[in-house]
Amino acid sequence: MINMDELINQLSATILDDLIDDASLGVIFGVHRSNKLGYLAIEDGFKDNNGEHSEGHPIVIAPNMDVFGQVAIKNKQHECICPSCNRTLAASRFAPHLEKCMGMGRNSSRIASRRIANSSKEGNGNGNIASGTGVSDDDDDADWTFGGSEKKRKRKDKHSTKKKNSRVKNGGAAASTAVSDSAYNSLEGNISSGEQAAPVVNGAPTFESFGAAEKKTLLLQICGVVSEHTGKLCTRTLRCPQHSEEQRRNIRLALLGQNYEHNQVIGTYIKSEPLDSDNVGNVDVDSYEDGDSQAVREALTRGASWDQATEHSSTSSPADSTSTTSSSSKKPTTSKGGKKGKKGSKNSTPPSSIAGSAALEDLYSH
Amino acid sequence: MKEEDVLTAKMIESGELNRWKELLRLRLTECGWRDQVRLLCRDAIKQGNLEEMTVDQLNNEVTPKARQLVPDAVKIELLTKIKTFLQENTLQESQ
Repeated sequence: MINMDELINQLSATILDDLIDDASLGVIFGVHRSNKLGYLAIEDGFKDNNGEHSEGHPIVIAPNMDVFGQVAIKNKQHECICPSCNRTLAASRFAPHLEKCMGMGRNSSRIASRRIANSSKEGNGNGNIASGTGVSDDDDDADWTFGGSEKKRKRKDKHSTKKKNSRVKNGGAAASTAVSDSAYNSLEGNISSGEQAAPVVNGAPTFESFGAAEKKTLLLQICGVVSEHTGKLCTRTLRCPQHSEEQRRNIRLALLGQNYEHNQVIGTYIKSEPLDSDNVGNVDVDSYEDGDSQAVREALTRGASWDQATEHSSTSSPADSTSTTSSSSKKPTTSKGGKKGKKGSKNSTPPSSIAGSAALEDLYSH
Repeated sequence: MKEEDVLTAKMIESGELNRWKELLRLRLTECGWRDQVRLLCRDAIKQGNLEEMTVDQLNNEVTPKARQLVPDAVKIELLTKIKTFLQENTLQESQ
């Protein structure tokens, strides 16, 4: 038995040796091949005459530095801990954060007061508006001037957002650059009178909350086409070049219902446009009846103030009025209207027939 | 001797030898033996003539060093495996 064990040991030793030789042979083959093919020299890297690796880009191995020798973490900012909220912040962000966090500084008080206003509006919209008794002095002041301050604040906001196209749906009176002061005031007059009775979303009247009459008046003054990305009504003038008369008509049909007559409200000059089959049956395109004059005049006078400025420029330059704006001249002059259509000029709403005929004479003179 | 041959035959047929080979290769790569041997080879090549180095020359030079470099743990592991296998087989045979 001992012999067996010894034999076994010897055997296993030889077997192991053979296995190791096999392995090393494999390695040797690989190295030899790469040497023959020229790979071996590459493994060490290129060396210049200096002995440095490749054109003076030595591989750097050092703490805080990456392989090229640059400082590893660039622009490492000092981290500060905010004393009030105990958050770690980058040094460059620390100052503005402090302003907002601690409430000292112009901006932060503005933001805070706006937040309070929003939350109080929502709360008061659901409950009572005047709840003055038994409240501290500061709150009393706030309540007492609630309506006024809200209006003031709203005005301030409107003015500040005058440059942007604010939404009609959420913002009440839109103050876009195209709408001049008179229209703005009239809009505001319409809307603010109706707004406190109407349901309020986020402290602002919504479009849907207006009555039908208010919607109409609103749509008389703005383009109203729903923009695709934002979902809001376009607040530019009726002659807004971005949207076509077709789009305006569609919007009005959708918003005001089937009984509405597009041409009546706006006074579109339909003859120059192709008629669509989706026109509602009772939209009477080519007729202009006496009963309609009242509505038309209403519409026209509302737009009168801001349109007067633009009217002459439009008539004198038929070229640019060939764009999407609609002409809202009155119907009786159908023959002249035809010529107008051919020229492609679409005038803005003439405030009166006199001015309209003057415009026509202008056209004829050219 | 016959027994040895028979045994070897058994080893190969059952695929046991291949398994041992693979295991050894794995262990040697893990422990870095392979890279060491490679370095050895490269040094040997640099010392001698680059062009004349044949496999045989390399072999003769490198192999004994390589054998030494094998770590003991690997050796023992494989040895035990081989022994158990042999013992089983010889026992069977004797029975």
